[in-house]
Amino acid sequence: MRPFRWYSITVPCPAGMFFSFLLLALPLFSQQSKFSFTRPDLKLLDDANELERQFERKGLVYQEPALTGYLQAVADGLQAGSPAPARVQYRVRVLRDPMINAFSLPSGSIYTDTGLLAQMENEAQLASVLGHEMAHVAGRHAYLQNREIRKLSVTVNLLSLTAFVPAGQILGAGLYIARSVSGPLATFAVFGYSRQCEDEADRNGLSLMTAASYDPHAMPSAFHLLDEKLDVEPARGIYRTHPSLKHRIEKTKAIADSKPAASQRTTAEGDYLAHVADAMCFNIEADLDSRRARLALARAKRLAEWKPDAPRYSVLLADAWRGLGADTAEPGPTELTAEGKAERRRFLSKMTAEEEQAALLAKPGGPEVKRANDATAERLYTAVIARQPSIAEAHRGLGMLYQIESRNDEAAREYRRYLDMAPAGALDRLRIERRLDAVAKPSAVGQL
Amino acid sequence: MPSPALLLAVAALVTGNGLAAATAVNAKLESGQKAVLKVCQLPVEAEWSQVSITGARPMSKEAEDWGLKLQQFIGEIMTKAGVAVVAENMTPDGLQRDESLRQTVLQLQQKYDGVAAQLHRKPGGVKKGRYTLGDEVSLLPCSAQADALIFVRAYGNILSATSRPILMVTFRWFSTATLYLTVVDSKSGEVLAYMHVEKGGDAFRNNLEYAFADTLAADFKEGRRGAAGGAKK
Repeated sequence: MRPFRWYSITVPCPAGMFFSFLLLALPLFSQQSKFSFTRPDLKLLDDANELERQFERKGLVYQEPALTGYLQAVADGLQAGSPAPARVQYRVRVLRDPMINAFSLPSGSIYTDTGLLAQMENEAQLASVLGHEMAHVAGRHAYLQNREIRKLSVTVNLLSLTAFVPAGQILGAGLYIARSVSGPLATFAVFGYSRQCEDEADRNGLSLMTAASYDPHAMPSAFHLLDEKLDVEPARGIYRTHPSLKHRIEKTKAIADSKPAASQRTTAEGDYLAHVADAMCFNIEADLDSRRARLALARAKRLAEWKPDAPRYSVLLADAWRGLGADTAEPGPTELTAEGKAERRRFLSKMTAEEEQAALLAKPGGPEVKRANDATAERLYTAVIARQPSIAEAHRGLGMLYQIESRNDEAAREYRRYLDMAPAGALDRLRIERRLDAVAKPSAVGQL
Repeated sequence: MPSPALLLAVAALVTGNGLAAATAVNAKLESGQKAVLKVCQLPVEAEWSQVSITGARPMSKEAEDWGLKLQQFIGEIMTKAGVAVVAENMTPDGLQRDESLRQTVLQLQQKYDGVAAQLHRKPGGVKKGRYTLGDEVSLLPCSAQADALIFVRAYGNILSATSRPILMVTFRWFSTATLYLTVVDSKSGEVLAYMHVEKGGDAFRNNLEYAFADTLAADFKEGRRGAAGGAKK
């Protein structure tokens, strides 16, 4: 099978449209109390377990016990009082994936991407996502949807329906692995379930939130955050399209408004960031690797504003400004339209990163934008160094910035400082040594 | 009325179900400016699916085994072609023992896949040095000893016996195996060579020799152009 390419989503996908239509049309025979496992259900459960094994095997599960413990505690708080259904154990895990997505498996495992954690603003919003996913599990939506698909004999090559999942790239890596293990599970993770199931999960998720003393308005506000305001994504995750965000925001807001005001727990952004900061740092780097410097910048700004004296966040902020190159920090009005977003996707799929930067530089005002971005990055790096000269990463970033600007002597100086300060076993020592070689003898390797 | 044999041949040509092979070589390698004598092979990423009339079913466990076999097989072919393979711990099991190495490998594999989306579409860009993974390749310890890194993606589609007669109408009535092998400069990350082999038939499941050996061996010979002394084609 040829690898699937993420740019294929930029063209209308008749199969996907058909499947979406089908999901809307499917009746949902949700009889919780009468649920009994059939052979296809057990096969789906096996696939879910295999998928978890693959996530582990590929090293895609983000390992940070404190964060996992925190997420599990939020989920346990939501579940309090209601026993888990048969063959379900709620377990929250994090995937190293900058995509803004979360999905659940019929076994009760809930996966949130680092991209989603980085996008949420507080614990209540996080609880709304987890509550929604737990409601899918409790409602047996995966099994029911799988049965309906089988019953109607319209599996119609489920793999091709998820054909737009990025082929193993950092962005959407979790979905890509899901696709290679189980067509139905990947499809549910990408498209979600029928509109009925999604509405039911929203409603029940809201109830779980309210019971756990979270402000139910956090759910519509979480949906607001999922819109692609800064950078486009190759696959629009389940929260984006099905049902439409607008519909969900309106509906969940109406339900939240109707809930009686009760004492709610406070969920400050700072408390939330304290739990997810490390995952956000990983995600900022992943955003930069997936050519989404605007998102990286927005997230680094949040961290730097939260803890202005923390050098790590200031360096990441500087990295993000450097990563922007000749791109603007905010999209222009045309970029925010559907056509603008589609064009941006095409841009990403048809050009290499280097070609994209060259095209941006060639635009009117491009060189000025780049100069301003680089100047901001330089200012931030030097400010960190002025406060704490021993922060090796600031010297490395500054060296890279100078190298891009062909200020080779200064780049060499900063690289040398980095190599002096970085631990002996630093992973990127060889990389920086090679860069130092290159700037010392520019003709040997040239610009990187 | 054209003969059935002719129709069959045309169908195979049109659908690409027969044999397909393509190689693109970077001008630096072709001219002898670069040499590839030692390589570091990253774990092969393989996928298998069984295709029936109701759709394709992924076979992840079979793909895992196939990937391991392919990795060993490609290593042997390279050795035969005179290219030394360094860092033999680059298997999924080997990487389990070193988390930081595993994460570095994952990062590079993902970076490669990001570039591969364009590479598969326009392999011609390899010659001009259009594609690069960047100098992050230096994060991999074996890049210090190797001239190049090898990335392999393999895809197998197996047709179920019952579906064959029905799928005949689509000209896709036999199983296919596709392999993409990319040689990347271990210093700059530039793509030096790109090979694409596609074979029809079921034999690839157990007989890698049949499926890929000839083409890969020939390609590796080609790929070694640029070895010290700059032997030309």
